[in-house]
Amino acid sequence: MLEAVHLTKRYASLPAVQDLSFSLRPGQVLGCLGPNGSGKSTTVKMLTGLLQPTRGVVQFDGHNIQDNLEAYRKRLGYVPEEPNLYPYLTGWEYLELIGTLRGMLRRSLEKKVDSLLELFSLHPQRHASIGSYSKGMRQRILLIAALMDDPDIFIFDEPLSGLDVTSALIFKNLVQELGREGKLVFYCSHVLEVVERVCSDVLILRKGVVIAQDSVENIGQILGQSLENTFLHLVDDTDTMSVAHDIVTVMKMKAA
Amino acid sequence: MITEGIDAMFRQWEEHNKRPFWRMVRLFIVRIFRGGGDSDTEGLDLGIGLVLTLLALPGGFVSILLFEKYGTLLQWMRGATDIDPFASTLPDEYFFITLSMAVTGAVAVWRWDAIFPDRRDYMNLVPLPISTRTIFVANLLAVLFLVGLIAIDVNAASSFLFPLVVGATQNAFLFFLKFAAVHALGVVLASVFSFFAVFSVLGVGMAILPPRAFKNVSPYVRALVVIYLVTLLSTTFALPDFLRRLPGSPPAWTRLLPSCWFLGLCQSMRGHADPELSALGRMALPGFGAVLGIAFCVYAVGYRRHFVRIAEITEGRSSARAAKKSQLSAGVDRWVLRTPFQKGCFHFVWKTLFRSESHRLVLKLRSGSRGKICQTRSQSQNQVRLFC
Repeated sequence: MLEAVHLTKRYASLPAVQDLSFSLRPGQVLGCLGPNGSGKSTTVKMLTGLLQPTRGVVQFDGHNIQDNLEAYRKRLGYVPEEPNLYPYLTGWEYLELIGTLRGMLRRSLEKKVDSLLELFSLHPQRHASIGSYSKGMRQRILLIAALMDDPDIFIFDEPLSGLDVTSALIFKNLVQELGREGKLVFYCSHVLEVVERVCSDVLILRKGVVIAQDSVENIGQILGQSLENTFLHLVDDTDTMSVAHDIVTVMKMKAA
Repeated sequence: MITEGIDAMFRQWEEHNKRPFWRMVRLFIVRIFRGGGDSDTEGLDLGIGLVLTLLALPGGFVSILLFEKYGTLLQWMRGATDIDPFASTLPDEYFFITLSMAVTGAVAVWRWDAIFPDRRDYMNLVPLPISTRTIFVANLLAVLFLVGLIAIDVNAASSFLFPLVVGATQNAFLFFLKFAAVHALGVVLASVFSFFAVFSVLGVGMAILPPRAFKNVSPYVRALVVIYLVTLLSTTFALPDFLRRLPGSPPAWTRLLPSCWFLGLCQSMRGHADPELSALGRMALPGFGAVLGIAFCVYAVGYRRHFVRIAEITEGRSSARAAKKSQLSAGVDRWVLRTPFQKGCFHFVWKTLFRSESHRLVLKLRSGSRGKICQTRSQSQNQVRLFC
């Protein structure tokens, strides 16, 4: 089980995340929602061990992850928001590098990389440099890199950005499949429909504070609305309809 | 039997290469040559082979030109039959030392962004089951390999050809061997010194300044280093002769020129240094050790301050600087450029030429060296005669 216990992160004196607590059981897919600047990325970085919390701990199977980060990361598959890959490596070279650094055995590594490249429709471009890949292709490379060592925990930070329709559909089903396989999945996204569809539970953040945390069904039932309306109700006071109308009005404005 | 042995060695090397640590070292070596910076496509990627060839060219060309100076037939025709090889090679030895220092220093300036692990390395490597200490050691090994490779590459041609042309005047193979060994040691040490000296200068800035402040200051410091290297190279026109004719101890400012230390070291090792050059030569090894020590310390501190804490550092250029640039751009548009076509062309050309740190540095180096050459030529034709 992965647990965040009273996590707080401050940048200088500015609080990014305050007193965040939740637990993630095997088979659970926990969605994390929140507007920009709500502390989603900071939470993800603390969960992956990239950032040390100012206060609180992240525990995996009862142990503080900071005590043995390498062992924890061996069981972690992480897809960051930005596919910041090495542009001079080919897709195959990058995956071979990641597999080697994860300590995977040569034979299984090559077989897995080939199969996953095939399944993610990247096999024909495997020897092209990543610099020539589209954003969606880079995102797929990151997904393969996270999946190939069969980790127990998955942390996805906006994994759908740049993916085409087919890949996005495959990915949504994949997340559900991972949950059924007993993996722990933490899924950060702006796309409410996807979170509603693939996650069993949801965590809503606003200005670094948890404002709602329950199963997707319960959150909807409490307010008797869809997740989208619930999110808007809890997080944002903006009247989206009137803002959209104002944008069109400004767009049509003629120079005096 | 021999082929089996070679095959076994090759297999062993392949296996060795596939180990995680060495795979990471290999990644860093390639990154130093081809990567660097946070952009995907802006870098000046010339490829490893071409870079090494370009670095080796100056030493090779100058060595070939020296056949004219040391050719025995030409010397006989000039009537110069009794030549002291140690005295006559002093300016050339000095030239090769400064050349190796300038080229290696320029490489350190050029590849500075790629020497340290950056945000891309952080995002790709830190989430993996590898400790940051392992990344530190792997990158350090890659840097040491790079320094060794560049020092050998830059000086390879001159270490063979220069002793060859000088040795031809002596008809003694042992002379050639001794001369080549001392020359190679001197120029390689000078190269390594220069790399780590530049590394230390920039590294001290990195270690003491906040990341964003260092990012803003770094281009100016690098420009100053480039100017210093070009100035150092231009001393080859006058300094060896100045040192040769010097009565008494050399002036204090020569102690500030590391190229003089290595010249003194070479002459001392050959046993033909006068007391002044010997005194300068005695500064070479302590200076080398000091620079190596400082470089290692600033590397460790810089790594801890900039790489380990990269996740806490926000990206992006300061808005004040961006505002200043846009004001400048608006001024040019208003006062200099008249038509939209002119404005479009100007901004396109400007942004293309100065699109990355590497491009800006290459342009600075080119304009700096051109300026220095013009100044030197206009100063005096007599100084050129000394070189000939």
